[in-house]
Amino acid sequence: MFGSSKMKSDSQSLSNGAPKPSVLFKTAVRIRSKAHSNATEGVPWIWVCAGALVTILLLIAGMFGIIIAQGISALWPKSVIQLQHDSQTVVGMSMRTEDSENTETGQPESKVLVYQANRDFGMNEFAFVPAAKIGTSDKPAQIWFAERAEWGPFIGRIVSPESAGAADLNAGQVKDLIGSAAVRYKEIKALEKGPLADLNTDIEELRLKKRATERHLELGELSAAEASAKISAIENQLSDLQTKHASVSEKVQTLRAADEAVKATLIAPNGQTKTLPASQLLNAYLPNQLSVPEKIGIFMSRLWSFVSDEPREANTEGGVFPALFGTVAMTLFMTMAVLPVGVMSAVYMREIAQQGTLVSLLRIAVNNLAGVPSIVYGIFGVGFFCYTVGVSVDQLFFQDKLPNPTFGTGGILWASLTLSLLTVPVVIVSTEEALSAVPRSLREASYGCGATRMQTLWNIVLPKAVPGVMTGLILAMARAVGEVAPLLMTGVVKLAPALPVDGHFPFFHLERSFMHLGFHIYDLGFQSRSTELSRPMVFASTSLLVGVVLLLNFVAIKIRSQLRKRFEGRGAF
Amino acid sequence: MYKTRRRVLILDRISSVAITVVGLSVILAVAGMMLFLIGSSLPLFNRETLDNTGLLGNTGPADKMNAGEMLLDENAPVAILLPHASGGHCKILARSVIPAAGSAKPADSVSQTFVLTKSAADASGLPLTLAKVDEKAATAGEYSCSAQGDGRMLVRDGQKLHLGQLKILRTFLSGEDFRNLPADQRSRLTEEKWSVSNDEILVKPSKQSPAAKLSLQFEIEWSIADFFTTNPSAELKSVQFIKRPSKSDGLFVVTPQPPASGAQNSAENPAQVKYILMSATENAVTGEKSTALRELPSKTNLSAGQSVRGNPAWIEGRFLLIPASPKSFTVFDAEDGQLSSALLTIPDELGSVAALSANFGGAAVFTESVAGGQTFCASLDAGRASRLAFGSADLRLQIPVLWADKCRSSNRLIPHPHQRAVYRFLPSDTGGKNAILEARELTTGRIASTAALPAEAFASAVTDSKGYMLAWNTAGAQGMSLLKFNAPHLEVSLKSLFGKIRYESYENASYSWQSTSGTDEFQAKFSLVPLIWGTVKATLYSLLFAVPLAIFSAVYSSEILDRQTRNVVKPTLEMMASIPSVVLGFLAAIVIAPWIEEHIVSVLLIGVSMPFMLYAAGVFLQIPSARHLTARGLYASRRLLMWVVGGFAVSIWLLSRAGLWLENTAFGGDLKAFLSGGAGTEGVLWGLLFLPLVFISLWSLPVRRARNWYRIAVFLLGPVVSVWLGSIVSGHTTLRNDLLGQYAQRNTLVISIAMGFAIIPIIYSLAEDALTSVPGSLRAGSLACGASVWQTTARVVLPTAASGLFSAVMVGLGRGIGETMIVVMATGNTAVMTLNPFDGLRSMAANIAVELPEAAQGSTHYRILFLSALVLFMFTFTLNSFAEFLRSRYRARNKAL
Repeated sequence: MFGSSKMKSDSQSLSNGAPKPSVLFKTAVRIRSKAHSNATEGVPWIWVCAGALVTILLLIAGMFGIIIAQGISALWPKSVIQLQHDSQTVVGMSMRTEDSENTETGQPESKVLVYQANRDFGMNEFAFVPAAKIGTSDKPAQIWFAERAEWGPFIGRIVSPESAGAADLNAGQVKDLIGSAAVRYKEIKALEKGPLADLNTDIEELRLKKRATERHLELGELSAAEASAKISAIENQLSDLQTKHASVSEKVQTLRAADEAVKATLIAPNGQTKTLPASQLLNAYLPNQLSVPEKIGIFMSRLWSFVSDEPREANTEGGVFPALFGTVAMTLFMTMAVLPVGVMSAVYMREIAQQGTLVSLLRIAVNNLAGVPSIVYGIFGVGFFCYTVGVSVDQLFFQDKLPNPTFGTGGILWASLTLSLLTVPVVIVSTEEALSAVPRSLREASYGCGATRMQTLWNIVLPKAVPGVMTGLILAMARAVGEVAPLLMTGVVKLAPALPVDGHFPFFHLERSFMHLGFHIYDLGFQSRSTELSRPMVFASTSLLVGVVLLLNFVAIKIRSQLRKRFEGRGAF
Repeated sequence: MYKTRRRVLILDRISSVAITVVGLSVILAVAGMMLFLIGSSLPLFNRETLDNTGLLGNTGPADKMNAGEMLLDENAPVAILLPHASGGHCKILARSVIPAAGSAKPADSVSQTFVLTKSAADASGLPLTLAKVDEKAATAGEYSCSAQGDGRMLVRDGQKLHLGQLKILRTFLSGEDFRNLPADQRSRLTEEKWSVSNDEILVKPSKQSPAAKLSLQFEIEWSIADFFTTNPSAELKSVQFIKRPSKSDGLFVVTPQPPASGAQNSAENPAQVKYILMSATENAVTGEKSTALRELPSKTNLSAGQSVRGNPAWIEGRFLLIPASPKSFTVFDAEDGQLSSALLTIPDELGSVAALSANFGGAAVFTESVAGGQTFCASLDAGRASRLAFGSADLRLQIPVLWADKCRSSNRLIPHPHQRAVYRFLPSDTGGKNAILEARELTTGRIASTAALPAEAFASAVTDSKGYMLAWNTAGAQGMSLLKFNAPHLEVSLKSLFGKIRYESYENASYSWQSTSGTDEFQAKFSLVPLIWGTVKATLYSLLFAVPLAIFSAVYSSEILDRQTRNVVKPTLEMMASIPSVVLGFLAAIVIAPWIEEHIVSVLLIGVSMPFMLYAAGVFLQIPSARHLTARGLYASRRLLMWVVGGFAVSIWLLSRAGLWLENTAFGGDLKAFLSGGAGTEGVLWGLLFLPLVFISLWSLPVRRARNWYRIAVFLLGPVVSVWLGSIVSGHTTLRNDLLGQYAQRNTLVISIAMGFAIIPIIYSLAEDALTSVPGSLRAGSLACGASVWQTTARVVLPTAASGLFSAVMVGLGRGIGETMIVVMATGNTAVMTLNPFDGLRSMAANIAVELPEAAQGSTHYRILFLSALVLFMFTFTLNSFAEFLRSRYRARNKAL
């Protein structure tokens, strides 16, 4: 009936189980439209279907558009405007224009939201200026935007404290001020993070040792004489360390005093002045004098400090480094747990077990595991890992720290184990898929050469399945990076005092609670002092998180298509 | 012959076994999770147990106690100290029992006697201290005292009245102190739990805390300088103090005669009883304490020969019920210092008040009364009292009957110290059987009972704040037993989890979830129904948004779209599944919710009419040159998508204009104000709801001729017809407050869109797979028979793939049910039960996320959260298994085709 060569290729694709409907449709339309008007029957419905797809695509585009635009504008150096209205002057960054109703007249009016910063100068951080009432609007050249270690950003003039507000510092002077302060800051931090932190750890360790001896005595495992001998030895060591600690902290104190002696004076647009140590200024620029390349430069440096700095001001400023680090560390720990279990399960289901009831039962189990809500994993994790396993671990190995829990509460180990349970189905499914794509002939050839089953598996089958395993693993990582609900209860915190991996023995502190990008977004967006204030940070973090997730997904898809191509050539499918 | 090396074979074997074990552990993980959840929530329904923690030694007949005159150490039944006032002078007998593990016999016991003496000025700042005296010695203290329950004592000091508290102090021993203990005592402490020497009780160091020493202290809370000067007729014995719950003030009851020893009730003519209210203030800065006394006027309506029984009792920490007659109370409101003008009367069928005492939280009062030969024990719930205008004659008490059987006036009713429950103790002499201890929850009516009491006859029982009960035998051997009645989750039953309950201060029975509040006395309400409602509501509304979009898109991309475009579109959509839900939730709450709030009418209009606009576009474009368009394959290519995007822009613009116009003309310029009762016409709102129905029904009318013109007429007529219908309906019923009501910024509509984002890729991907796996031969056959593409899709492909599509929807449903972060962030988490899409909700998953970090491990709240996780698990388990079953059947059928 269809004699064309096109139909031949169609029938081929049909036999492969992948029909090409569009071709079929075109052909059918070509034939039928000539014969009968029935071909257009239901065409409006096709519009509805296309509309549905377009709706989804538009929604996706809109979502990404908002995330990316807001994320970039959060870090982009905006210019500072000076507005006159009702004999008032407002200096700040124009954030956006909002349409709302006047509370008195009920008439619609649009208001410009201006970020004034300068929280500690008796100013509101945000001001709403009715657009209709704005008299003049200009961009003063000599106005600084400075990020500070405390009290949030500053917008205004920077002068030297000696000249008592007479002359503004020029750009070079400010740069020198900030640069030298950064060097001193680095020196102090090096002492604090190095020797001082080491001494603190040692002192804490000795204190625990002392406690352990006392406990042994109480439990009757040590005689009183032995115990007091031991304890006095420990106390000697302790006092030794404490002297050292005192000398180092004295050094830090002197450095700090020297640092605080270098000062700068800030003058806010409302006339209030404040003199503070220069090291409080982290960076400063004149936003209205920037050229586009300079703006890009500042954008890049802010982007870098966003991913590499510690958060400040209750997470609303500074960077997200600990959150990023925590996310990565947690994901890596999870990967280490999920990889062997996932691959072994898949190997069992595909290579070892008899295909029968047991395996189909296993598949159902895996499927169900994939469908269990993540919050259920969370509650299981906290109940089983933290409160059951963790408490027993504490009683066996960390008795001296009790009643303070070590593993008996949320921590990165429990969080990553919980997430590995959550993501194991992903790894199993894709590993299985990869194993089934390895041609039977390869296995048979290997058996034929006398290899055992495990030798075949290790040397022949698994190497071929590596890309598939990788795909699954990356998808699992993407899932873990974005999952927040189970972490809420298994060890994620708003602000972690220390990173889960650091330079102190034993380097990996699996019991520590950690920060996480997803939780950072949740926490900033919903629990911070002001939504408006944290908005740029949340959007920047959101862009980062979405970026990481999409990148991982993209890599997984690429690997998968690579894998398909590789096996397609050999007739695996 | 080649031989495989032994090592290789062994390795082969080992790795085989290892892989098998790990593989099977996946099943174990699923089963283990379920078992763990069950194991964690099951104790909620455990039967109550009774622990007999120890037997006290011979106490002597003089040691009679009243409810609450017992003091226990906070952590364990280490010591029982009985403040015991004998004669006019104060003598405190401290008796401690150290139960040996697993035996009813005490391992050790200490008996000490104390008197109160004036302390040396420098000692501890306390004016009075406890001095130990020989038990046999006749020396009495200088002061007389009387016990008031919970270790509270009144002490007379000349004309002064001290109100104070006996406390057990736990002093932790430092490591040094411990090392300095005598060797034998130290070794005893390490071997056994406790060590008792003549002077002190030492508690063994545990893993959680170091060794500690227990001692007794009397701390004066308030001193009233001239109490006995102003009340010259009062004796200490005849003064009783009734503390106001969670406040430090209270009421003194001064009776003409001291109440009989051991009796809880007084039988008095209230005219002779003085009620003196003590209000106490403490200066926060100086710490200076001052008290003020006020005598409340007593009111009676006694007839001759009647007397009242029962002490006054506080309800809700505010209202004081004072018995005025055997059947009525005067009510005093401590907040505004007013005495009610009307009396509160008990219904006739319940007889008269026999005993009255405030319950936990001060929210319930119970009586015991005799009516017509039968005895009732009833609880007075004064919940309504705080709601009704005070002083109104309408002040009523609701009286659920607790026990209508077996209740005798000799039974003791004891309020549960930390639950809304009443204990009832039935001595064995009621029928020669074992003694029975029952606890009855007041709101759910659940009874926990135990008949496992020791066979001896118990005469009475006492509770303290830890739920211990002390029971003692008066008839035979002079022994005392310390019993602990364990009913930790008394308030939980299937009825309280899934049924309607009338909670305290609620007028009607309701489903309610309110797990925590600021105060300890708060009644937690654990009904899972609002949470399940919220979960289902969120999921269904989002499916309403997601299913049409996902299925229609899947149809389009599998049946119509060309291959290249599809290869871009499908992975894009699937990648959307990996967008973290916290991002979606955040966007929903920060971006979508405020935007929708601003443009609500346009959003509704677009949502309702967009499909029809699209359909209309298809019809209109068909009319001029249908043949031409189809022949060019417009519908099959991505060019259609371009057209649709253009159409979208135009119709969204049109519809948002129309939305503004509609809001101004029909809803008084503000839909939100209109929804909460403002001006506007409801007919239009109904019309919006009717629009889809009207369109669909007009279409399905069997009109054959000139279909296109007919369709255009439908488009023009549809809105008119639906508004007309709406105005008719709106005359008879209202939409507001029922289906549509108050507008909250973070609401179900927002959720349905954000969660739709999460669900769409899942449904789309599975549905697309199901559709593409329909054998091509079926399509070819249908097309060959002359069916159009849509006819083929609708009548051949869709029915074949139906079970696959259904299973896709089921999986989407499962995802929606478990979705947490979006719901947490974008709903406001209010546990309301409405259908209103503009209202918030609280889903099970969100509830767990919000509340688990704050729930105390092992508490009722914690276990109920585990139970709700189990419910979630079962929900999704069933859904996924069912979906999997459908999919496998679908696959098998396709294979057969």
